[in-house]
Amino acid sequence: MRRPAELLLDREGFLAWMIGLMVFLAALAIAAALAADGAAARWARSLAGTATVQVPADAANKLDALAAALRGVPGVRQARPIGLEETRALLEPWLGTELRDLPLPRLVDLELAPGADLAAIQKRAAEAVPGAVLDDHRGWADRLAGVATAIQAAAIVVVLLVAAAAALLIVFATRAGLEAQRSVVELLHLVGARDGWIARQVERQALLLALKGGTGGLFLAAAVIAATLWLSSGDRLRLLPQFEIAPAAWLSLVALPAAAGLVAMLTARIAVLRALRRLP
Amino acid sequence: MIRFDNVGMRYGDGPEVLHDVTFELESGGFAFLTGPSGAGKSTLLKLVYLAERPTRGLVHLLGHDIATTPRRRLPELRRRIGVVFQDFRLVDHLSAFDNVALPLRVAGAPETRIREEVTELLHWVGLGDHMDARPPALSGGQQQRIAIARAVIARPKLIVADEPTGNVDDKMAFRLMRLFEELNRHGTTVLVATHNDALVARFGHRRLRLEAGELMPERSARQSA
Ligand SMILES: Nc1ncnc2c1ncn2[C@@H]1O[C@H](COP(=O)(O)OP(=O)(O)O)[C@@H](O)[C@H]1O
Ligand SMILES: [Mg+2]
Repeated sequence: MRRPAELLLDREGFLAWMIGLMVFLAALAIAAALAADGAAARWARSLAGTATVQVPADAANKLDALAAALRGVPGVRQARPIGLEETRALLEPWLGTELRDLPLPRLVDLELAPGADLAAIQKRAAEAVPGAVLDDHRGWADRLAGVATAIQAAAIVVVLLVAAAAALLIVFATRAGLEAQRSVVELLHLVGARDGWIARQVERQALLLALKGGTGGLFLAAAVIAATLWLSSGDRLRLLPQFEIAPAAWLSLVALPAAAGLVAMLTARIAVLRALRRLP
Repeated sequence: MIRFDNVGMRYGDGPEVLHDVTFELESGGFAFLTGPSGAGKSTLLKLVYLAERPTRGLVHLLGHDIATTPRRRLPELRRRIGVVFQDFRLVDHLSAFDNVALPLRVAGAPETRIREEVTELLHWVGLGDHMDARPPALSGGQQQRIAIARAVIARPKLIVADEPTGNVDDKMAFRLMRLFEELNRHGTTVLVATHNDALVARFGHRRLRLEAGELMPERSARQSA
């Protein structure tokens, strides 16, 4: 059996739990930031290559001809007329089923190559169907890019705040643990322990505690993240946006317990050395 | 062994609690330090076991002038001084064995030597059956014996005890003094603070008397009794 340490930083196990919780929160914050970042980038990308051409309701019979004409324009990869039923289905959530006979403007969906000549497309569309209007989603794409940037910035701020809060709490908890052992620190000093010896004791303990708690927190966070990924993938649930995390980004999560260990270790060392320096 | 020259001591910005204390305790000596509560006995002992530095005056310990000894040398000196604290200062989460082993572990002694010597000493103080017990589970007398075993385990040159008989009955106090005398006969210098005058009278040793931070002129213990 290993003998108990002379200095017990964490008699109630509070410190290990707290470090676990902090690592858990930090891991979730980082995962959410990475996912938000990825999702924002993906939306912006997916919108960039699409456009629609809208024609008035009375020109619905020219939809197929319009699509065929647009396919001939350089830069248009695909032009797909959207059928009446599909158009109704798209609008049903807003219009309801009562207004089925309402004349609806009709759409041709375009998939564009990068750098497609939008002016040429608009010109060809207007020639084929007077009143046809090209909507390249530029306003949307620009706004989404702005949103994506804002999300990325917010995610970084959240991660930094959570990390700072976690580090501060670990610092306070470690100091509190040490303060509770003040009389033991003084006793060790009085029976002839060197400052370095005492510091090594608390340091080693803080590191082990943080690694233990931090690994627990990380596993819990990994379980939550994995469950979220599973729920959001494929057709299982349409509730969540597509959500995925690059394998390399997972590594930054694995570093969290080590970071927590380092914070606890340095705090313990600095606090105990400072307390000892006050003694003769 | 111990020499004080005009030692003055104050805590922080507080009033001076020891004034011009001058005395010498030679190697192998045995002395009681007496005086009413608040006279400064504990403060004087703290200077001796290097828990405090004097505000003024000279403290010589084990051949070292403490004022000019660098801080990093003090641990070595402390290891040659055994202290029995007034409140024992046992570590509650450590077994009796590990409490007694503390000074040896701190000094980096090998575990085999620690096992051997601590076991022997705990048997000697009658705690051979309680080596794994934690202090809170033991009686006051048993705790005191652990505190004493810890003070002597590293074979100190000097033993300092602050009211070691404060919390035990007369019989236990008497036995404890016998133990100190035994160690003293083997060459250990002993300094015991107490306000138990009966005890001081019973053992004919030198007596240093403090009153309000001042050392009174010495008489022999037998004369004063
Ligand atoms: N840590 C301390 N801080 C401030 N004053 C103290 C401290 N310890 C003792 N004193 C004061 O020093 C004086 C002497 O106390 P002490 O040495 O404990 O006397 P004794 O042991 O003889 O009862 C008292 O007035 C006490 O209040
Ligand atoms: Mg006292």
